[in-house]
Amino acid sequence: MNQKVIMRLALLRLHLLLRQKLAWITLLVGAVLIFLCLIVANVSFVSPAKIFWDFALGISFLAQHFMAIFLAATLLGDEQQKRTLHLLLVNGASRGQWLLGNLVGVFVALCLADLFWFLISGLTSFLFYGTSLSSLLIQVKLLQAASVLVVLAFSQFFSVVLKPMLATVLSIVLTIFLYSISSVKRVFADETAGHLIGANWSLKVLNLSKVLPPLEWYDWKIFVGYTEVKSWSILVGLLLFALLWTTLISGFSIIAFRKKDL
Amino acid sequence: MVEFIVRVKAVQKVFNRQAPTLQDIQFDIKRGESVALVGANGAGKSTLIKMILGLVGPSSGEIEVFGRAPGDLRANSQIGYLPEMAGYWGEISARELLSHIGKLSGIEETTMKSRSEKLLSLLGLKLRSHRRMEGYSKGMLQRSGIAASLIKDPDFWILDEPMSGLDPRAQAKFRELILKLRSEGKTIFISSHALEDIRMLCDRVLVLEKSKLVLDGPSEKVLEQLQEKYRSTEPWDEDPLGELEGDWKL
Repeated sequence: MNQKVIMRLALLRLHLLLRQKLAWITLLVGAVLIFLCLIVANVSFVSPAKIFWDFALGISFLAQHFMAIFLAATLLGDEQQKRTLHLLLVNGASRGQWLLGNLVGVFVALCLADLFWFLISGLTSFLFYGTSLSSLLIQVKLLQAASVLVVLAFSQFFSVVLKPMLATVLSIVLTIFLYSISSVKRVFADETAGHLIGANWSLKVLNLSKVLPPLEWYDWKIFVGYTEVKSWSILVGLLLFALLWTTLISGFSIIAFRKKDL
Repeated sequence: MVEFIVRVKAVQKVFNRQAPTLQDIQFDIKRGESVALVGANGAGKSTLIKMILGLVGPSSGEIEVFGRAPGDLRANSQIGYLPEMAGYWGEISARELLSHIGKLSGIEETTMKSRSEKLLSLLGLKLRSHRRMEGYSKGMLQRSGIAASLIKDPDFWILDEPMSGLDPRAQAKFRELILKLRSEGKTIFISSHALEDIRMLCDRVLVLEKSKLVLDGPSEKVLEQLQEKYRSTEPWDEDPLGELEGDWKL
């Protein structure tokens, strides 16, 4: 596949996103919310710097994932409706290149947005609490980027096989599901947690623990339940794991897109 | 030896198990020909064009474009396409649109810039070429679409309802442009309802009716038959237009 065309499509997507008012508004709203984290941090009794970072990272995590789902799940329908998809496919782009180019373009745009929020958070933290960026924070950000890439890939897959609205809803549901796998696991493992949400008994009766596949296989909690610095080799392994998933899902997207009538 | 640009053999298209949109369509387009596609709304003209471009696949039958499968990148590199309503991104200008399309098509930077300048001035877009397209009128968008379809100097130009949105002066200029390109030996395929334009611009006419190709011949002959058909009481469409007779009121 011609990488030059993929890069041109990615640049076009980036160009279009940078020109969108909504993108700039989201960026600014994110920044304002990060500043508001200062209030939450200062009214708490335990380490304000830690609380500030927890909330700031949470905001950027949610904003980035929602933008990823919204952009990837609606892009195909939107381009088809505007007939810009036809314009590109007749002028040098194959369907596979269109998918990959847009995946890269949206991913780069989301990483730039996250970098902006991260710098704002870092600067605020430095000015108010005198803390500097740590390896832990950088590792968390890298894993967040990897997670966004996978979310983008499956949202794009849904956009190829489903209508935009349904693709968006399903992408949100799948993301929530993947990030709550660890909670489900706790329900199986921990009697107390199970009783607390009133699910343990019903799960045991239904014997779901035997029906469900081994949950560790797609335990994404590893991306967010991150409290200590890991060795960089583990981190690289996790990033490659995310890249493998993205490649696999994008492969399915390309196969499905090739058969689609536009 | 005659070189065929398009070969359509026994093509049928059925969407979602509904009645066929196209049935047993068969025709060729030779290099240098100027062919019109005529038919009522919903006859399948746009679907046929999309099939030639590889955007829609046939349910059965075979299509070849420049001897390759439709949608093949090497075949598409020789095709210019103007859709019924030109596609555009409101966030960028006409100049940027041409630049992106030109780069994507693999045109050399200097060639692309000079072609872009020529097309923008010919189509009366130069003064506003730096403004975002979201502020363009329908006619300006259509003219931008025409420029985008010509930026790679295609051998085969496909136009779907090309005059829609253009004012009479722009239409006249556009007719002039089509005739100029035709005289240079470009192959042109136009889908249109404007019979006078077809008479002026095309050598051959294909008529689609109720998803079938019912007429294929020289313009004069086919247009005469068509005009006869328009005058007759025989319904042109499955759901014919009503009459404004008697005390008809809204």
